[in-house]
Amino acid sequence: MTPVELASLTWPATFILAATILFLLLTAAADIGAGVRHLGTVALLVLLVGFYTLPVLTLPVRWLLTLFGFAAPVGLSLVSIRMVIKST
Amino acid sequence: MIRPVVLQVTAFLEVLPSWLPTVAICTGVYMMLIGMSNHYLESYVGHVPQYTSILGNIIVISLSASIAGATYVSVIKQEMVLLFVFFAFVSGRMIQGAITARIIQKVYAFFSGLSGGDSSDSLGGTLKDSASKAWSFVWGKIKDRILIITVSMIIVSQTTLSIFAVYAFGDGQVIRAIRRFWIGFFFLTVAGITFDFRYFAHRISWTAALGLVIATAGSFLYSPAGFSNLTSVLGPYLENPVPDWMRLPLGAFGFLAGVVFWAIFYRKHG
Repeated sequence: MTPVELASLTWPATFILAATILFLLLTAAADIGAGVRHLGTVALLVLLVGFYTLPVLTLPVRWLLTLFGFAAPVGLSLVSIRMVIKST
Repeated sequence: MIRPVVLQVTAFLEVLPSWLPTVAICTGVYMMLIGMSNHYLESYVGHVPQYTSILGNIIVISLSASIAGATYVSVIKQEMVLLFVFFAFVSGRMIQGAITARIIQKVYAFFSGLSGGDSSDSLGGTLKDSASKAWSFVWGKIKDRILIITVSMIIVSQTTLSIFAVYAFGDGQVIRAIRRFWIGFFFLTVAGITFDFRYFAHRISWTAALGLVIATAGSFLYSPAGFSNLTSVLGPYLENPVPDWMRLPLGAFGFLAGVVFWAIFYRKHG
């Protein structure tokens, strides 16, 4: 298995894992009913199954995450410059 | 002929693999991503009773892993390796520019503080009084920073000796002297940031602060004297390697952008 195959296999799973926990935490913080929480969790799990059965579904999400990946070095270097000047 | 030892001491950095700066910057950036998102997440949902720090770590680490994985897949599939490397390169140059400006400003502040110390309130006291005041001011500054001053002096004298050695025993090429100067500057930066680490590490998170140190170290590994390192290593992976002349303006742009952002944040926060 090449690194690309490994990465394309793992990133949808980690994404859904993070999204599910975050969704549950945010709905708990906003005090939203159990029905909505169950529905949302099931929807996220369906999306996870969809990612592996219909690979075309992953395209928009992957490009969104890629955008974050490209913005991260420049954005975080700005944040770090601010941090260095504020705290040293 | 016995080659002088001082010439060898800094020479090891010249054989660093050329992918190291980019990889170091990306590692640092992702550590900062993890650390800072954790920080923001905790301030946002930290009050929820279900929230634990382990849960926060799981969210942040798996989200960062999915961002890294998706970016990696897109970069490899669309052959954007060079584009991504340039993004990391420009952001590294920005950090480099801002921190260079910061160091120059701090050195200036240190020396103007020294000269201002004995003339600030010497009107009321005698000459002896103000002299002892000046001495205690200088001593207090030195005592607080004894470690970093010692380390800096060792680095500066080693760099000076090494540059001197280029002309005294070596072939006297200016490019070698520049490279040695820059390597000395790299060590000074890493020492300085590591020293300041204790001031900001507790305020953000240890992961983010460590990521900042790694990213800065990686950005200072881009030697201004070795322009062709970066593109030559990518050669086998690219169908049409970008010419070297692109790197100089990109690097200069990033460096200047860093200085500009330093100026903006300096005016805001001091």
